[in-house]
Amino acid sequence: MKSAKTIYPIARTHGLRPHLLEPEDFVRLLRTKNMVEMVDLLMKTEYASELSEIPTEEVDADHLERIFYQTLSDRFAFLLMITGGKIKEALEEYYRRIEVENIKRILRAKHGKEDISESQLLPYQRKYQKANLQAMLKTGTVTEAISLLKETIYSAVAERIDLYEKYSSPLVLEAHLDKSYYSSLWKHLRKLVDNERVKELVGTEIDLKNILYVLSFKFMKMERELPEAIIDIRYKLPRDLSQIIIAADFGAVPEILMWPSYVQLARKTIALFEEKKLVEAEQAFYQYLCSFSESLMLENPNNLVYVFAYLQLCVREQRNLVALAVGKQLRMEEGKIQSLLFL
Amino acid sequence: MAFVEGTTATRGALIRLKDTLEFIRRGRDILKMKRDRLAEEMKKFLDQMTRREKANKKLLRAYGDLQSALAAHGHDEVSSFAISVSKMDIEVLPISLMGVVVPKMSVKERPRASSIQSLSLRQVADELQGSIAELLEVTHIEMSIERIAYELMMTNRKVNALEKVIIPAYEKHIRYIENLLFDEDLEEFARIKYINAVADRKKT
Repeated sequence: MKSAKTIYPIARTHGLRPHLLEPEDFVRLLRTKNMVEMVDLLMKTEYASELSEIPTEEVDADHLERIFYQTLSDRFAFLLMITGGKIKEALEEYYRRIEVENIKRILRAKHGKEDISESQLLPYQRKYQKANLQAMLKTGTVTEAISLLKETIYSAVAERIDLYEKYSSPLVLEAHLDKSYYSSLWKHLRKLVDNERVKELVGTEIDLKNILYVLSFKFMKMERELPEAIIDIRYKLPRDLSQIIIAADFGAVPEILMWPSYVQLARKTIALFEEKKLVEAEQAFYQYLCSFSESLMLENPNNLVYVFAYLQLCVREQRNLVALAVGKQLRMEEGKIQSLLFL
Repeated sequence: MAFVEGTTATRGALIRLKDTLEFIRRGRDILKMKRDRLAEEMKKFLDQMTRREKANKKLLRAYGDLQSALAAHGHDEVSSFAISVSKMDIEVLPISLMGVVVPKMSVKERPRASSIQSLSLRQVADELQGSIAELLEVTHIEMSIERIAYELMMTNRKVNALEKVIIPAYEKHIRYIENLLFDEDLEEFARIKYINAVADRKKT
């Protein structure tokens, strides 16, 4: 018997799920002639209130992108508002991925010696902030920005400034941010009651991220830097993954990945890498995660994984809408936009 | 002949005119050599014009990939990665081809796209960098052709002006003075002959 604290967010998520756009809605949006027509269609959805504030002549992909990100952040925040206890803590950790992305954006700007303002960050509710992003925005260098993370949950990243100086690339810091984020999220997921399915979803996400890192680094012949980038958590992947991969051939990678579905995915990705279809290769990973989230939702309607999978689908919706808005603005062919959608 | 009228028909003027004509002829030969050399250079650059089409194709492919990457990642994320990449450092060197100055642009330092986490965005960044480097080469070729063509036209005009106007004018002027001096000599000779004949007659 599940507690009311667990059942309540699941029940509310069941109510929220029908508000998400369905694949046929994306196809209808895809068939629109231009962005104005697309916005007209979106006026019949949850985005109507935000969209109605933009004058028609100011409608562009930038504006729409901000609205889609804002809606995504609001959806995360709404679930945080209605939950409590350990579930709220776990969801807060899950939501922190937006803050991590914002820290990465600040570090990239500082590395490129460019100014960055709060408007260039993703919408994230301040009450959940673990780092002082506003202070980080005002710093001049990566070292200064990183030093502000010392007293926060990201202190482990702050200690790796030597790596940044060694490689002169914010990529290593980004990898450590991911590592620290997923480690913390994993720790919080362990505290949940009946957490197996949720761990399956997040564990698969981590595994997929690691496989993508492995294949990317292998493709770029940067295997030596791989141990620095790979996330420490393995869900269904071998423990000593990075050591095995460094020694192996690019084509032999699928055989190293033991979980059958990963093998199929890796084979498909390697083929796409070899055809230099890198966007499609990256999309394949996210498509896999979306399909997996949907199947978990179907199979476990009364499990907490339903809430996490719903959030994954919210991200999918945001990514699809961004692809549609940018595609329409750039007057891309319908087929090309469709290939970028996760349906 | 405008400049004939101002000059005096003396032996000194004739020598000066002949020297000038010789100088002009040498100038014309040098200009002809310059013209031939410029034509050679022009041909060399014209042969390279096929690179324009290749550069266009490369740029279009990069642009197509950029569109896909923008749609897949969103403008926000792509911009965030873009600001982490250092700017391209381009060196402009003036190169002289037979006195025709053409700026030669080359990439001194390529931006380091290694700060980009996404492989597809890194590929787009590399493709765009390659296209820009190629476009700089094509720009140099096209600018060289344009400047050489202009210089070729000017040189040709100068050679034509020398060959068809100035040199014939000088030659005509020299001939005129020579004729005049010959007439004067003849007159002088006739006068001396006449004086000698008169003196002989008086003696006898």
